[in-house]
Amino acid sequence: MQVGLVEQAQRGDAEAFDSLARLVGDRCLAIAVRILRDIDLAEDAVQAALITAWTELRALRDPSRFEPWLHRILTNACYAEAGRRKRWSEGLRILPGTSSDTPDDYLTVDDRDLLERALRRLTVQQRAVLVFHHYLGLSISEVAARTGLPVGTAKSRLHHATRALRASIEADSRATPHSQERLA
Amino acid sequence: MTASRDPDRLIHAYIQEGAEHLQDRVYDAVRAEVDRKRQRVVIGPWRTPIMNRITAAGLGVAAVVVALVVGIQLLGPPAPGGTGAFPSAEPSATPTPSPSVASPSASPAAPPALTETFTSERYGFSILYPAGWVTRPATEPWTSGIPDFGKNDGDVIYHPTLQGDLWIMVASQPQGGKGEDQWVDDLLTELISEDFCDTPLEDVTIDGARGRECASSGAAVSAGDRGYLILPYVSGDDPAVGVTYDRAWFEEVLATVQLQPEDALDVAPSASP
Repeated sequence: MQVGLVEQAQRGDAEAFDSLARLVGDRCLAIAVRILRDIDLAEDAVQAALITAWTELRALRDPSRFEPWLHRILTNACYAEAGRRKRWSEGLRILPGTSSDTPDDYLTVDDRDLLERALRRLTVQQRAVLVFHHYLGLSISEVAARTGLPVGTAKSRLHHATRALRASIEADSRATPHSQERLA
Repeated sequence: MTASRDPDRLIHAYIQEGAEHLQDRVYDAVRAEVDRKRQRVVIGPWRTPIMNRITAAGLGVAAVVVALVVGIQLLGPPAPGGTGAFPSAEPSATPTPSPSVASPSASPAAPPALTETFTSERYGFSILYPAGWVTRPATEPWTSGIPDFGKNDGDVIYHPTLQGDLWIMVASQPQGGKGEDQWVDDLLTELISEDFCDTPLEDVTIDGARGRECASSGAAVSAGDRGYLILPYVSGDDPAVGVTYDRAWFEEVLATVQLQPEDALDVAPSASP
């Protein structure tokens, strides 16, 4: 179905593209919000990515690869939005704590607070590889394709991101007795 | 930290959480833009025209065959007993004119000569281009992504009427500590992933600078500690345009490029991932 819609949209069918966007939009938002840690920026990134996808759609040679191709565009849109956030940091809105659609019982409120702060210490590029790997469950080569990185670079970026996150969690847990109790 | 509070599991679990529903207003905003914006075609200036030539030739041959078959049937002797397929054919019937087999490739217009010079104040290069084409120097440094017609980070030279359907874009940036080959490889990886570049890649030398050229479009070379991207674009909307502005023409343009990396306005190293 998706391939058919892509082919129709490539012929300029705006209705088909609208249907296609609605098929993939939720997942795009989920990726963007996890990379950017900001719902408004994530919505802006998804909007920008979908518009770019429309204008560039005829360049997509394999319609079955639409979603990976879109995710690559989305990743760039997230980087652009993150750049804007840096410039307008005073307007930063944090990810709402109530945004979780499926909260994991494994995580406590303190865990979430600690992890959110740790994730925010990472670069947006590091968060991108983490999200594609942990959220979409992609292999390193697939992560590389969606982030536009050579495989080796994606692998090392994931390694460094995970290591930085672990270190950040451990530092936070050492600095916060309450967290230390939970994590000990 | 015990296994039950494994940080990797915490990370994995937390990344699963978050919003997963895109609001309708975003779809509506996208739809409004889609209705307003035209789709762009990114096709190498030589791949599609080559395909068009083959297709056109095939269609031409097919048209001739069809015309011959129809003509023979119309003009040929009636079947014995007068019960042929065209019993009403009159002797005065004239043969059906065969469809035109002319194709855009049959007599491609010669591309205009490269008589004008564009010298980039930002990126340190000069290039020849056809008279009448419009130049649009970059107003922002190229720091990430791929410069494009719709952006302001590349020097663009475009056809006065075809505009976004026919252009050449050149941009350069410091290599940010990367080696020459690494910068070129990284950029080509991005070009390929963005569908701007078909493989196989070929070695290319532009004004003495080494680099790689895509099979479909675009070339990246390294001059000193500066990397250059030269990206042509021909829309596939009008095959005749691609026939005129083919790969040979682009090679001709490339041959006019002169690199002066020392004249470029240095910018911060690439922020490309």
